[in-house]
Amino acid sequence: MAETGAGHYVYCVMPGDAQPSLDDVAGMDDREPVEVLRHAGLAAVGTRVSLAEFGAEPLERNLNDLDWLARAARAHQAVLDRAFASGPIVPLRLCTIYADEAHVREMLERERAVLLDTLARLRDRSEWGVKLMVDARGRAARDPEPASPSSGREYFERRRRERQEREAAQGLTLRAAEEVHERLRRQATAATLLRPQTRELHGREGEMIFNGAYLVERSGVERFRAVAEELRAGQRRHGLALEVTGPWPPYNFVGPPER
Amino acid sequence: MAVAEITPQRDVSLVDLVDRLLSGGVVLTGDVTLSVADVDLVHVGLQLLIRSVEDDDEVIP
Repeated sequence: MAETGAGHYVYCVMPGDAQPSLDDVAGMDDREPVEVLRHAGLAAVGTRVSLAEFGAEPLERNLNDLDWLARAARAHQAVLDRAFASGPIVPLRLCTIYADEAHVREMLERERAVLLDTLARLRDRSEWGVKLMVDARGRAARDPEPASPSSGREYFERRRRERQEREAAQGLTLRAAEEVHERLRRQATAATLLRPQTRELHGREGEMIFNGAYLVERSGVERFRAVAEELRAGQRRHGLALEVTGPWPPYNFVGPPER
Repeated sequence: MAVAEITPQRDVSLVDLVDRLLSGGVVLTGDVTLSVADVDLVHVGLQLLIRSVEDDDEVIP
């Protein structure tokens, strides 16, 4: 059954006096303006969307359509970038949609205390992502091509040695990741460990062994990046590639899910 | 030719973005609150989709 009518898509919540510059940003539906709805000392940044596209049923299909998802993700992020440039924001999970503005107001009233606390905590802070990739190809290339074993004993000796070396390498890799996390954590107000992206998701050579997110004070960003750069240079010698992304809106620092 | 070599290079920043958008952000109860935004389901759907896109790309002409 096709759904009809409109819903109200909410990107993020800001303090009630926020003045984000949203005039020329395209939201989830480029025929509809991105608007600020102010209520209860808070501001919800949102767009009217068609339920033919964003209703529960079509949405399930659309979220599994990579082109649609990519477009939606970029539109969502474009609005958050604008909002985030003007002050603290609480980003909402992608595709949070309300029946109408009255329901958005109800949500703002209901969640008011938590949202205000979170906004106060996030002021002047941004999220930085740090990932560590093991270059599987690089490691394999360093192993010499073994000649065929001359005896059963040599064969098993060799297997045993290979296994010990592999385990030692894994141990070193994990220790390196731990060191990276410890050092970066000291430069951050908060830190969280994310699930490393699977190969299906990142689609690249090698394996992601570490995926961390750090909440960094604006005044500490330069120092954080300098430490990350130092770690990157150090890890490269161990065949590990350290990647830094940011600044992100604080996606991973908005507290436990509210249900 | 190894499969990995013909896997198209995916837009790293897009993957990072989608990963953040689907697993981060505050979960408030909306109206179209996604039975679908059960995140793990979406995540699984996304991975299945990506795999199927790659499979398409691997078709040898």
